[in-house]
Amino acid sequence: MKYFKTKNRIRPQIYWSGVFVIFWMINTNLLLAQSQQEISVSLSFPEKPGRLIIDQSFGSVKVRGYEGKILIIKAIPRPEKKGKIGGSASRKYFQRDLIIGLEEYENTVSFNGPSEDIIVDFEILVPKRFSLKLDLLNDGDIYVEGVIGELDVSNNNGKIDLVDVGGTIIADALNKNITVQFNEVIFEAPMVFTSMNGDIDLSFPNNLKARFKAFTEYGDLYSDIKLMPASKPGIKEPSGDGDRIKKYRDKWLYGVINGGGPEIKIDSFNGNIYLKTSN
Amino acid sequence: MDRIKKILERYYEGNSSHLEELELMKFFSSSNIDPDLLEYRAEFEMLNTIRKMHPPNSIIMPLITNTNDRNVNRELYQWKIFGRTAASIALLLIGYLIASFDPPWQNAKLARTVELAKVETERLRTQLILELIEEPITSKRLIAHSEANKLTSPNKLVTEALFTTLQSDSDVNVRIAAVESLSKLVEDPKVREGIIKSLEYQESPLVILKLVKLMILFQENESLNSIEKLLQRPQINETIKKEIEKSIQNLI
Repeated sequence: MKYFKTKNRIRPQIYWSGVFVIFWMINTNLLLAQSQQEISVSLSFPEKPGRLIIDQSFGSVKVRGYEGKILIIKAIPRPEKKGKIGGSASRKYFQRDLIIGLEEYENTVSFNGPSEDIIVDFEILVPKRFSLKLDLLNDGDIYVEGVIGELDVSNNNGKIDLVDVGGTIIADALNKNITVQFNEVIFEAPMVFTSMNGDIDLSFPNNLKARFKAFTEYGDLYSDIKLMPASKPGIKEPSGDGDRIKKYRDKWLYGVINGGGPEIKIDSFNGNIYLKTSN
Repeated sequence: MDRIKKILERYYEGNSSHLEELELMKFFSSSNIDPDLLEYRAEFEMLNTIRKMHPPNSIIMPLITNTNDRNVNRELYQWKIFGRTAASIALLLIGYLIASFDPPWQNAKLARTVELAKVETERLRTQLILELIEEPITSKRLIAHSEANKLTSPNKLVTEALFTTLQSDSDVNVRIAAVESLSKLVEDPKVREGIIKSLEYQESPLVILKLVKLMILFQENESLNSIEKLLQRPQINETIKKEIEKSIQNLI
């Protein structure tokens, strides 16, 4: 990946790899200055589903699905300094250009947020059928709307809101809530939702076919789906000295809806769990 | 003669009685028949012959009219039905016993076949797990862990792959799935040792919490020492710190 830098304006550039014909590889390199900027990214195979991978340390990510076939990425630097950096230091950061390297390779678009201590919010349009892998650390939420695919989202200190989404979803949030409103529940692989301190609130259409497995250590569980403890104990875990292993009562609650399907696992430590079906 | 003609008339209208028909048969079997009626003779002679061929009442009537005999026959019939049913059930039982009796040589052969099938299933499952665990798509890696939980016996290759996942997988949920899969193998001291060592490489509080909750159950000095070291980390997550203190308090 290469970075191209200009002083005063954005110059998105397409860098064609010298071996493009052989490897079908496209490197798209762009430069984003500190003001709000937008760039379009074409896919190598527009008719096929693609994937967007973002690893972002400071800032939020909003992704919306639309009927188009290209990605439109808008980067909006926040007019605030990050963290505990002193005034002069932060001004120094702002005087520097914001550089983000972005790569498109065989329909996978990936980029990392700025490595500097600058907060950037991204607003992205993707084709409706698209997969996402979003990994955020600080100072921002994840919001996804109208996207169907493999959605793998992780947020350390922000919340996760997924609205009108479908496909297979895997989400974890450390300190804030995870809220998901499904519009389509055709999925073949297991789904997992994990949180330590936030609530997990999932709304499904009533034609959902799935098996549920849910547990919250210190929170409460509210569910439209009937959940029951396991009928048989027998999962082994270690216990005391001597006979180190003993059978214990399975702490998870299990449920099946509309005859069952792939497993949906919901695991929270301090937060509540809400499972809703539309009636 | 007129009477015969009247009876004939009723006969052909279908209104004659049984006795009247017998009278007609008797009449036409005699030799004194009016020439006008000769044309009917052959028909009634034939009827008379058929009547004589019928079994005598001495045979039929007891079955029809004698109530006592009928009861006797009914009981006999019921016993016969009962006997046949009992025989059928006995035959079924005998058949079942024969079918369920496996000669020892067949048992051994069957057991060997089942064992081979199990080994082959485990081999294929292991291969599948090792392939899926390398997949870039997170949900496929999660499927690998679901499959690992289905293994009937510990498998060195899979256990190593689970530890690799625990240490290096980019996704928190996959690393948690690895902890859950490994929690089923803690009978093996090496697995317990691996879990304890893996704690120091973890940074995700969600994974650390799962590991700590599992390690507290070991109640081993090494695991407790490792947990105490974790408490000394300067940036330890407050929720984990509280949970560890609470768990250790419960142990004491």
